[in-house]
Amino acid sequence: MTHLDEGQLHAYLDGEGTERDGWGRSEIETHLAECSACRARLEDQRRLRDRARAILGTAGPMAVSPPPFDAVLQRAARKRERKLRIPPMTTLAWAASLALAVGVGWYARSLVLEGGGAAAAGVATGATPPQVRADAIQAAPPAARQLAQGTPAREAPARPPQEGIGAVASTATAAVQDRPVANLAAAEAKAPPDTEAPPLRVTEAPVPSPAPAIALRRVQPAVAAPDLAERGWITVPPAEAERRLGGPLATIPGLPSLGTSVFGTGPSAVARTIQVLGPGLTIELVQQRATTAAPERAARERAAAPAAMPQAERAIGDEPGRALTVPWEGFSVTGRALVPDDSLRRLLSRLSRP
Amino acid sequence: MRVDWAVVYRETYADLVRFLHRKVWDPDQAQDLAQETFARALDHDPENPRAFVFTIAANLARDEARAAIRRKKHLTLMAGGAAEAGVAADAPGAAEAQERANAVRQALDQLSERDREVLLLWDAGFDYAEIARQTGLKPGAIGTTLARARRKLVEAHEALAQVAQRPQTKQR
Repeated sequence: MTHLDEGQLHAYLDGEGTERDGWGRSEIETHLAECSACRARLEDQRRLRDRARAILGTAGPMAVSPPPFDAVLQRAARKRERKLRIPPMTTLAWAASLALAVGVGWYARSLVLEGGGAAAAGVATGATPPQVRADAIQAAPPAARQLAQGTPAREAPARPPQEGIGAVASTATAAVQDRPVANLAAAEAKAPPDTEAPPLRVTEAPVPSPAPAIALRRVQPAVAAPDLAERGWITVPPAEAERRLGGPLATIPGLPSLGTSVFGTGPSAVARTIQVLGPGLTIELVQQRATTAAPERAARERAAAPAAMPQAERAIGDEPGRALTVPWEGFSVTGRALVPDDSLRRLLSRLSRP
Repeated sequence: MRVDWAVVYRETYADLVRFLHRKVWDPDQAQDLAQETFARALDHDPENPRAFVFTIAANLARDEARAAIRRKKHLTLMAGGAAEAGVAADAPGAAEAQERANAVRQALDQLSERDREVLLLWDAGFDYAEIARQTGLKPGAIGTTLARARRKLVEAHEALAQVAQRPQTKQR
């Protein structure tokens, strides 16, 4: 090798002693002393290196001083804590889908078995079994919903449908059927883990006498809805959510909604709305009465209906992402999404009525 | 021997933030990722803590870049200029600093992945042997790679400056 290549020049400039092809630092210096061309190139490369360093230096950030090391230790401790808990979302989503699958299957089976008599009779009268089965599956979501929400089904006496409740319940059913099952399971996976046992009871409760299939669809939600209203999250249309909250429902306009669920009614009601920000990215809005307005009264009312409090906290606490709470129309609204704080703040500044 | 992470933290933090900032281009996020990096490193006892920390940081930055692409989609969904409003809220000098950082960012974007990585590691204070270990390149190749990366960065940056100067009326 007669002259130094760029790599050697840069290594030399950077104070590197790495020997390459038999050229160490002293060999390079010897060559530079003899070769004016290489000396000139060395100066060119020095300018280039200094320029590159200066350019990178303009990118900021200005000198940062580390926050106390304790902040890191605390962060690590939080992470460890989180790891110890079994991720609740995952587990419950699985439990919910399992319960859903079992529920649907069992329901279909019981209908086929029970419907055996009806079908046998139906053959004579001309009713076709496939129709019965299709109706069974259509009617299944409310039952499965009940499972997903972990509402231990009480022995539900088969009551005749009540007009008012029936209307609400059937809109709720419509909302549920609009959504893919996977979404449903994920969104409602807040259930306490006692979801496995009930399927048998729930699905058997509404087994009808060989009534027309169309009546079956009506009867079942009418029985299920009041039960849910007392004990768990229930998916409702926006108007119903507003009625339960006793005020406007907070949403971010322009974003598609995956639905609203509420827990409880009146001053202790909590509403949860999930809206889509983009593929695989949602924002969750948890809305409840602000406590600041009338502290004593609110406290009294909370004491009367304490169930919603842990529910609200659980709705906020379980999920990953950043959370930010803002006051809005006499409510406090907590937004949670996997976006930077400033994006979240901006999103929450756009809250309005649906 | 156990690594004294408090010492590594003190000595490495600034370099790490600098390194991360050139990957995520957000000072707050760079600091957040640096904290996260150390929180993850604490349980380990690596031979070379500094290199270990930079490896974690590079992975975090890569994940973050992917997430950022997803986020960008939703920001375009929202009406209005969220981005400008965020910048305008800062101090008056911030806009220029942002401008300068953008120029460097665009210049760096024109480098190959490997050249950029070597350049940023050097910028974060790594020596050739450490850069080689970190990138899997041969120690003898670092000088050549750095020479190429520096030249490309300077050329790209100057080209951008000329484009920005000439048509003052035209928007970038």
